[in-house]
Amino acid sequence: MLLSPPLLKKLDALSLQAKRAFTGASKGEKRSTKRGSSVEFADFRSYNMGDDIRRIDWNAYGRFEKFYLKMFLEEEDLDITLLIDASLSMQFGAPVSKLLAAQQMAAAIGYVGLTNFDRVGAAVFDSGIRAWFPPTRGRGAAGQLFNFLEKQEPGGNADFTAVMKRVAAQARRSGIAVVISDFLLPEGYETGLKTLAARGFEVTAIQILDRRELEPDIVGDLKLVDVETGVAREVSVSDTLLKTYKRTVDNYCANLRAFCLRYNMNYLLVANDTPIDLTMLRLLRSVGLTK
Amino acid sequence: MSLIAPLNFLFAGLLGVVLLLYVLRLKRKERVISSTFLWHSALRDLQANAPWQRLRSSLLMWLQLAFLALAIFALVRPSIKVLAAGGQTIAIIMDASGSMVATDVQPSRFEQARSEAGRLINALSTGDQATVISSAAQTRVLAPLTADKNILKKAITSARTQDTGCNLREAIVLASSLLRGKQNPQIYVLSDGAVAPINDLSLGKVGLQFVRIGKGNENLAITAMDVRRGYGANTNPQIFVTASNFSSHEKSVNLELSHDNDLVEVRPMTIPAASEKGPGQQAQLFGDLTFQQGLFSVRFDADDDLKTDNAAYAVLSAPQNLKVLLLTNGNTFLENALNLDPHVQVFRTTPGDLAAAKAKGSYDVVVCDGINSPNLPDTNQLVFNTVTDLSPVTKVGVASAPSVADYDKKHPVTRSAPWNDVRFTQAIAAQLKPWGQAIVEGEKTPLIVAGEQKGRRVVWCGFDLFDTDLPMRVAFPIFVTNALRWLTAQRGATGPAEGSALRAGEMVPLMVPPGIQEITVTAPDKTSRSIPVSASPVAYDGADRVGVYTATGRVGKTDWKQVFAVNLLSKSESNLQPGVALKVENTNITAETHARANRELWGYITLAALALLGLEWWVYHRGSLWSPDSLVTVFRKLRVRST
Repeated sequence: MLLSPPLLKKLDALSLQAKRAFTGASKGEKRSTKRGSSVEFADFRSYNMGDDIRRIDWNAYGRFEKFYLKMFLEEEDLDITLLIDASLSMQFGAPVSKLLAAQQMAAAIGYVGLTNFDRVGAAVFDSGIRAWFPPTRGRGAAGQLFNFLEKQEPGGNADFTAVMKRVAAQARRSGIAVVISDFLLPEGYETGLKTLAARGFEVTAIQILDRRELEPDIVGDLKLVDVETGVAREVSVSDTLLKTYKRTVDNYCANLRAFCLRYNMNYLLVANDTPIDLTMLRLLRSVGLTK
Repeated sequence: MSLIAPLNFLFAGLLGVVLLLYVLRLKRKERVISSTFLWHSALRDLQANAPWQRLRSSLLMWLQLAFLALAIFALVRPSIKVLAAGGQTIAIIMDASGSMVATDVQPSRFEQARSEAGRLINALSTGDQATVISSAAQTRVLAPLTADKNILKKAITSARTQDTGCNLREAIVLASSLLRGKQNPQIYVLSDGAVAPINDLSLGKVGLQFVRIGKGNENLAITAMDVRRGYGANTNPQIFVTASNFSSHEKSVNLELSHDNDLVEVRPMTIPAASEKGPGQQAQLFGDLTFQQGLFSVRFDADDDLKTDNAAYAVLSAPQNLKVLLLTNGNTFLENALNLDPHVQVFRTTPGDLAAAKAKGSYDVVVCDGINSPNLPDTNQLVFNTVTDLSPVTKVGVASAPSVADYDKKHPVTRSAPWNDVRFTQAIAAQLKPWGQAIVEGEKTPLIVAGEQKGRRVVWCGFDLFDTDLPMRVAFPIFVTNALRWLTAQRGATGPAEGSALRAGEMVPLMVPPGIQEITVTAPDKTSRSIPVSASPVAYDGADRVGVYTATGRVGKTDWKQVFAVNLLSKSESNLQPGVALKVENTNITAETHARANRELWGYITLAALALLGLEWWVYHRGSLWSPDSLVTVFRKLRVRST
């Protein structure tokens, strides 16, 4: 069970929010780019032949003796795409692996979306899209989503850019894209994220790192082997080297964060041992993904 | 700075080992991680499979190399010279020999040595101990091992020189035995280095430092004086004098001969400069003097650095009328030779008449011509071709046709005559008694032996005069005369010519007549010393000044007086050239101009090495000293302080 019932109860109070409006597929609870029938005033415009005379603002006619239509915002559903990195590097982490943390986070975000009548889709990727959960609405689909996520096992090397390009190409509508990965990508993450943003997605990058990746506890003369590439690096770990490494990690995360801000993306760094309820109830709200 | 154990520089090879460790790859424990991506900038090397790696400059490596270099430097035990190292026990040996009164340094070499010893005493730390030893012909401990500086300073003040040579070996042996087992033992030899190489000496852990005193060699000296009576009928004395010039310039001086302090003759002489072969020398002979006895002195008026050796003295006693008993069956050669000297009265006898001859009176010498008898008079003997009870040999057989292998050219009995080509048909094969001295040696047996026992002197000749061509040679009468003079000489009362050349520092045996209870010896500086007489001869050990000594005594109403002269007559003491090194057991101990203690630096170097090791540890665990972050932190702190 990815999420406990008490957590699900807490998540019921949350909803996802986008910084801007998106065009939905059907009526929903999120503002749409369309004008519609909600109670929220949007704008005035001149009457044209064929317009519904029930929308004429008679108060404006009294003042200006011209017909104006009063326009209200349309509320539609929101497309939420969860992109979960399941490459081999995500299998690390204790007591909770990075992949499990990503699965829990994706499940929680998906659950919040589904309970608010948003369309939630998910893709699990390594070098390509390994599994696809088609966009689905309604609370009843939460169980299917959980089952889908739960089945995923780590494997393969990440080809982030190719996957993001494919997601962007296949998407019928844009919306919120939540990318959950460790972002330890030698080839870089910039192209992939920019591709999503260019397709119109409002991107939230959630970087999950193992606590020991942030604060390594290794010492001595070691031969470090990359689990994905198999490349070995010899290293004599000293305090100096650990400081250098931590500085490198901090710089790397800071660069990712700066990149996201520059392209109007949300960014959140989460350690694998951070409780999921803390992440959902506090951290995601701080970056503006939930309210 | 000097290195005590330079061989330990071989450990420098360890530096190469350290470098080797840096170019050798370590066998590392393999660990799979999620990504090596972030380690990239912190990785040491990317060539994972090569056994060697390129040597990279690293602060840790330099610190380790510096630590090892310091450790090796400490192992070679560098030391510097300081006046006092502290925590030491020292022995100060002051050379008090004749050459130390030279005035080439002011006020004199010995005064400078005294001053240097004072500096050493003043530099002693609390708890340091020292002893002061004076070394001349005799070695004297002036102050025992003590930490009391007052006692040590008094000892230095009381030290005085002697006109003698220097027995430095004895002083060093004494000092090293005093210092053995003490803390940081060190011997300081304050000397001009005019000593012979010192052998058979083991210092162990005791350090030895030679502090050279003196700088010049402007000295003229009388290095030999010999007073000889003539042979045959003319027994007037002749005086041979050798003057030596140790300076690098030719010197002209006037040599003065005095007799009983009356100037007899002044002879100008030019002495050549010293060369690599030795000092320049000039010999003078004052011949056919009419004085038969008295004090002869020679001196020159040189203005040089050492005055002691500018004069020499000889006391010639009056020629004695000798009574010689010749025990022979007939030997013309021997009789003629004995009768050559007008002061010799020969009494010839045969074995049968020996008792009667013995009863007639006492004899100064008995000459046994191949005849032995138990009734020989108890007196000095000149023995041919037999072995008497007093002979310094024991007979072991007969030697056929022995030839002369060697002879003592300086012995009073054999000098002045060549012995090389004397032929013998046969001789007694003999073995020396401990007190005998072979003065003419054959190939397998001694031919002529001289010795003295129980106040009796013997010259033993192991051949018959008819079995040799000696009587036909000019050496024979000279030998007989020399033998008679040596057999009857009174040691201490005669000049060098009669075999008793007295050098300062030697023990002087004084033949005191029976009945004298006490004698008084007056030294050249007019100081007197009374010596009780228990037996004759009386040993007088105070003759350490050059000059004329007078021994007096009284038997009833009869005064007894004996005059003897003491000379330096030592080329090694007159040669003032300061030694550049002291040779001890084939090791040259280089001269120092001032006393310096060896202060070893290994302790400080070890501390520095440990500090480096700590720094290396800190750098390894805490980070680089020169990292930008550290510098920024330091600058920030400085700014905060300045504001």
